[in-house]
Amino acid sequence: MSLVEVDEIELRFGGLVAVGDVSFQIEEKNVVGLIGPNGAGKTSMFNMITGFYKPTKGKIIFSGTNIVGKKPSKITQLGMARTFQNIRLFPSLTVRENVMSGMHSKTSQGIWGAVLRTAKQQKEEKEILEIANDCLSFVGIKKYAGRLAKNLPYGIQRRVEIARALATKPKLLLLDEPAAGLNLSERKELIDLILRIKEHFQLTVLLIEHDVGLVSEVADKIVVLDYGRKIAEGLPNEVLANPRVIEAYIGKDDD
Amino acid sequence: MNTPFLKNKSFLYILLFIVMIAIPLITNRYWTDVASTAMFYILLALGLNIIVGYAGLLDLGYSAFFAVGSYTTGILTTQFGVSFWISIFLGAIFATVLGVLIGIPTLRLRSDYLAIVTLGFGEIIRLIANNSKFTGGASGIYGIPKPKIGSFVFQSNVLLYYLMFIFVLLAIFVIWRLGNSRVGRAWKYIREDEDAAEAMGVNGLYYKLLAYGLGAMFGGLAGSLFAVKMSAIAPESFGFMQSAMILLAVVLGGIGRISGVILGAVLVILLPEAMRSFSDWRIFLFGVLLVLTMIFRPNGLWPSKKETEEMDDPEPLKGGSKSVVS
Ligand SMILES: Nc1ncnc2c1ncn2[C@@H]1O[C@H](COP(=O)(O)OP(=O)(O)OP(=O)(O)O)[C@@H](O)[C@H]1O
Ligand SMILES: [Mg+2]
Repeated sequence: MSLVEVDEIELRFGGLVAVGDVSFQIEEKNVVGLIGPNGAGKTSMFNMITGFYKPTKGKIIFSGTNIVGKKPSKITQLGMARTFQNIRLFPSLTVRENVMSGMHSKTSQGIWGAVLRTAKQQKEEKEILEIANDCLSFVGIKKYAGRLAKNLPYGIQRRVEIARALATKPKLLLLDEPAAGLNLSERKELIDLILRIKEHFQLTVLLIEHDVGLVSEVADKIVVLDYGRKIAEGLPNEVLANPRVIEAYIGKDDD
Repeated sequence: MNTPFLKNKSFLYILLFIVMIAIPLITNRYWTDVASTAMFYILLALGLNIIVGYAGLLDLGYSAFFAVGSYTTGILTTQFGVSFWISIFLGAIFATVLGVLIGIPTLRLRSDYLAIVTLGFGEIIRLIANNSKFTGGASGIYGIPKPKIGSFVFQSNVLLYYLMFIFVLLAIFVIWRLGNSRVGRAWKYIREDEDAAEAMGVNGLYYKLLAYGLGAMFGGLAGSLFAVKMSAIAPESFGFMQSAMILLAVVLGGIGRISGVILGAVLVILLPEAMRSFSDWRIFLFGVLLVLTMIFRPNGLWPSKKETEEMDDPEPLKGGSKSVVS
């Protein structure tokens, strides 16, 4: 069974159909690339899967449950984590505090635990710290743990966002253009990181990317959107050879 | 972590603690009263700091909760002979419940709307107090008895000062622990970026309600103490100016930080007193000082902690450690 089934999903903003009648599946432990020209509806697709936008039609089945209409926090608890196209960190908190947020949905201490510092609460706090540190080490930014997120260079902030998502221990990781704004060597490192993540955590990745080369290096499957419609789906080399895809990209290539 | 700097800081806190204890013993009645007023403001500012400083919600009607605590104690002790201790407990509960009831519809709003709604709410509470029979109308409630334990009565202003001091210490303890917990972090995540917090599994509405309810609770507690300290309460103590002064205390010292908020509360009370010799000019001077602070120290006089450098892992774990699993 697939981990995610997107079933005839539609999203309208007034008269504009941002995503129309799109269906695809994400198999467990796969990396699926979601590509398409600017404004194709990729981020909108992400926002629907993660609960930020409510589709006007269709179903999204995640691990067997329909998640349409659920709050983003609820969906995260079910095992999804995302990054944002325009990095959305907690700017005036430290990198470590940022990453600790990932453990929120995996822990449960409330006000009594906090005020009384119960044994259970302390155990949880220790665990939260440990996981946060592990995730920081994994993405190679442990030395920035005590720095404020807003004072770090762009490439590091991207990694903080990925570490934070990993700390939720997701089944599905959604990355929205993680390579945007990175230089060539940073891109190489990122490809390496994505593959390491997939390998080590045995998770499923949905990756939005403009850089077709990067996607084809990591993806098991690619879904192509154009004007909100799915125009192709399949293995990377198949999809990239597809005339409709080439046309969509060359017809209005803008970056 | 035992840097000389930290040692200096705990030394400072101990010194401050001793000064606070000594104030009624070494000064006269007048300054003890000023210090008592400062205690209310510390309690109020600490409570409002949960809402504004931790959770990042602008509240312009906080004195409403202060009023609820005051009137609960005022009415219950004078008209129903209820003991102060039960009344302060109920006052805190009423304030919390009111906070949650107001929060449910309003906390879905974006922050600028929230500011307007809370402003209106504060005024509504004041108007109710001003126009109802059970609150004593414009003349309010007087003859509120002093708290007592058995036959021991907190009669003198010195004893009342210490009573408030104990409440302030309790509040600092509770709020400090809350701030440094999963709950406190959730508030800060929401303050920093609500969508990102939600994406990390933080239920925004729940934690905002929690902040609002707890903040209201401390407002209620301060109100009950205010009622017994003053023996008389009237609606004009709970207007917008009051809300604005409490907010000022939170912002002036260093928003989101307990020591900063306490400093702010003390300054808000002390500065106008210290400038009394300027008579009518003092509010103006106070305003100028404020503007200067905001220009030169926009994060408050005593802002939050700075960054720390850390050692990188001696050996970067290529595979990460095993405690992280899917
Ligand atoms: N909140 C919104 N309100 C109105 N229109 C929106 C909203 N979000 C997205 N859209 C529109 O939906 C369409 C798809 O946008 P989306 O951001 O999903 O594209 P994208 O494929 O992620 O593009 P890019 O590569 O530029 O990130 C665009 O026309 C966009 O203007
Ligand atoms: Mg996008």
